[in-house]
Amino acid sequence: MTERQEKIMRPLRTTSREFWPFVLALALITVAFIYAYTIQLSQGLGVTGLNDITIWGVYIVNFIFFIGLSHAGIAISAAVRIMSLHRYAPIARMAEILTLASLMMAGLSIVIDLGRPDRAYLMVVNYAARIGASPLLWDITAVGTYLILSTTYLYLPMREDLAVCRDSFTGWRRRMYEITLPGYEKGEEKVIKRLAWWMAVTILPVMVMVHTTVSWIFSLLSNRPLWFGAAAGPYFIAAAVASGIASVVVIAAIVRKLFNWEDLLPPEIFRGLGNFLAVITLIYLYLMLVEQFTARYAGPAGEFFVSEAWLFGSYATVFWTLTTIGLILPCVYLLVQAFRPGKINITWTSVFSTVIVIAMWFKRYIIIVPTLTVGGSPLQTYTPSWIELTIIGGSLAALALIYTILLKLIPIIEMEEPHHG
Amino acid sequence: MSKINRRDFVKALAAVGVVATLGKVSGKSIKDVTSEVSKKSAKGLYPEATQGARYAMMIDSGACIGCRTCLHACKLENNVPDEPSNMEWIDLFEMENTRPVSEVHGMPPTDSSVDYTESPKEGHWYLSFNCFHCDNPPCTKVCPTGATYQDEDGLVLVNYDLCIGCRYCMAACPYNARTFNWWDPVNPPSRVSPIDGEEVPLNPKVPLRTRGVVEKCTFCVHRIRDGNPTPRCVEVCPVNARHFGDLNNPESEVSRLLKTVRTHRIKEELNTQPMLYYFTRGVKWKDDGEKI
Amino acid sequence: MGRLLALLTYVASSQSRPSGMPLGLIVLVVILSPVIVLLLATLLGKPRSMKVTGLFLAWLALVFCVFVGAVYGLSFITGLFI
Repeated sequence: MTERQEKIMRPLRTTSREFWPFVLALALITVAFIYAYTIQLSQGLGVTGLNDITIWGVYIVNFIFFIGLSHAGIAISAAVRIMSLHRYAPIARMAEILTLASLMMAGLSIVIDLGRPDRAYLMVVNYAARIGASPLLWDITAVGTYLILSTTYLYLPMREDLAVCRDSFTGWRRRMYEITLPGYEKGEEKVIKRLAWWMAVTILPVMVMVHTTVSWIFSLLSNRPLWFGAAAGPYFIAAAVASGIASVVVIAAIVRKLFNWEDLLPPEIFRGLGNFLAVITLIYLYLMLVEQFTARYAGPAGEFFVSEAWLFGSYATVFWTLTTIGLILPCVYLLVQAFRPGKINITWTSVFSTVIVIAMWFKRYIIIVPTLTVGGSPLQTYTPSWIELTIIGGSLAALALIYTILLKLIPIIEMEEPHHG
Repeated sequence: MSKINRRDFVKALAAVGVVATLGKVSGKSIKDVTSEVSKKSAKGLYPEATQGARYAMMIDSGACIGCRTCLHACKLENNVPDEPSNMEWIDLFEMENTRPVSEVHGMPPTDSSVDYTESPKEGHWYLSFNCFHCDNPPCTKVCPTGATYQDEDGLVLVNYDLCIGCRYCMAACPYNARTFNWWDPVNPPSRVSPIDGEEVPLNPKVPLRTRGVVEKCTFCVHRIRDGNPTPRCVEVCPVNARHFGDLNNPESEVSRLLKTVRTHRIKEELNTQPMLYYFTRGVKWKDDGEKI
Repeated sequence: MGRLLALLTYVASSQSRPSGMPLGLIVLVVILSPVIVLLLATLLGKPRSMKVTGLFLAWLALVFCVFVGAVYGLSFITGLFI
């Protein structure tokens, strides 16, 4: 086994002392989440802060947020494979695992929002009749296709690394890896590599359609100010890619520290990701500016009222905090860093990336809730209940838990030496 | 005929068949293709659609005194629950006289009130909303299971057994016509009517709903398709402000009104083609509540 | 020929609503055409191996079944509480 392989296998072999309390804490929060949901199941959605005017709240915000996080995986993987940006190969797999985990949580978030989740299967039964018309089903189709392709894209190239894992263990662990490797033979990598290239090429348009259909859930409703509009697709996609890349920066920085992977994840990776993040955040800020101008210059009543609420009304504090500290400040830092040669500060890059991720969650809140509360009549307010907050927090803990478990079982960095050139 | 030989005829037939199929498939609107599953499974929930009818309602917002008799009668007729949270199928807004009726379009009447306790108030008029049973309903398009659909006589209905409670139809409705069962509804065998204090039993003709489903005005589908051509709200209005009928029948009240008074509809620019028309003959109600 | 044309014109104009192709079908085509491209590339490109193709299709089918199964599973589990 090479030194590189040894290093990558470290989390699979050894467990630090801090691991168990950390997992315990995540598990406890997840249990609280499940408990809160069973309360909601037994009493009804009335336990939330939702009402007949604010029909959607933080559950839907969470759904969009998780779909956004899932855009990291293929964005990075595709860049590596299609554009031969081999420098980023080490983070490709940890990004794909994030895609897998966050898509699972996104699906769960939607089910949690349903009034009759025990009837969710009806969407499958009546699929053929309704797929012609319902944007919700278009979204489920796109997300399902994306999920299926992404897991396949994760699994197939991982087989050769799973073989290394199998060979380095004995007993039940060896058997565990053996089960994941039906029909494995050395030399299949050539075929799989070509297949993986085609997968990267084809998953990219699917990824674009995923967030386009998510945006269509809102932007095809002509009665909703600041939802309805043609630019929702690019707007949502920019936010998704930004939050996804930012999450990968954070995860990469954490595992780099935890497992002493300084040479496996050199600073150039973070510099490149930081540059890209700067550009995509700048694009998003531009789209926000254009949107507000359209609403304010000679905007129709609904658009103007909602824009007023965002900028000067009841949502102004959240809006300006997330825009200035959450988006403009990180963008400026990352832009300055992009233009300054020399060593980059990985810690600060990941701090600002965390800020961007949090800001994007709140930005989704600003998109969803004000249009409902002040965009129509009568006016309404919305305060999430403790059940909703527990479920939101719990879903994030569950995501972290799933990710932690996965990184103990599969190597999250590709073992193949990245070729430079 | 002699010029066309058999082979050409068969080819032409095949071509017509293909075009007809394509034409039929693509000529079917979204409404046609997708409402069949709902109508099939809603058998038994509602009576059969009235063939050839096109129901519409008209409300005289000048005559309306905001007494809410329609709202309470509707609740009793349709088993709309009071507990654990009060649900209503009809909304009533109190608007200032200086606000022209057209100003309601797309604009949140921020100074209107749904919470008023006395009416009619000097200097105000009253606007009543319920489901408009639009001819081009935005709500039926978005339903992922086909629970809400439009029937042949124009009624937009909800199949309570198919609804998964995603509330997408509520997001799509421009008029906030729909209401959601956030809790398990309490349906006592009888209730005291706020109108006259009488005990009114549960209506066996209207299906009871469960938690987690959407409901709304049905134009009293259980009445109008079953021998009683008047919805309950129209029947009880003390100033005769509400009118209902079949637009396809030129003798019906609404057809005649459509020809004689100037009507308008809410948020026309959204192309929903609502079947609830508003008009006013410009005259305030008479002080003694005399019917106009 | 003139009669055929007249017949075709009549059939084409019998579309009473101007809505044309349901929008969802267009969306499905846009979402799934990359998948079709991928399947073609798998089956026709070189180098290829029957085993990898089989593995690929099997894995796709497996994840698809897990996905649909999860919908039914969640319906069932939540139904226990309602």
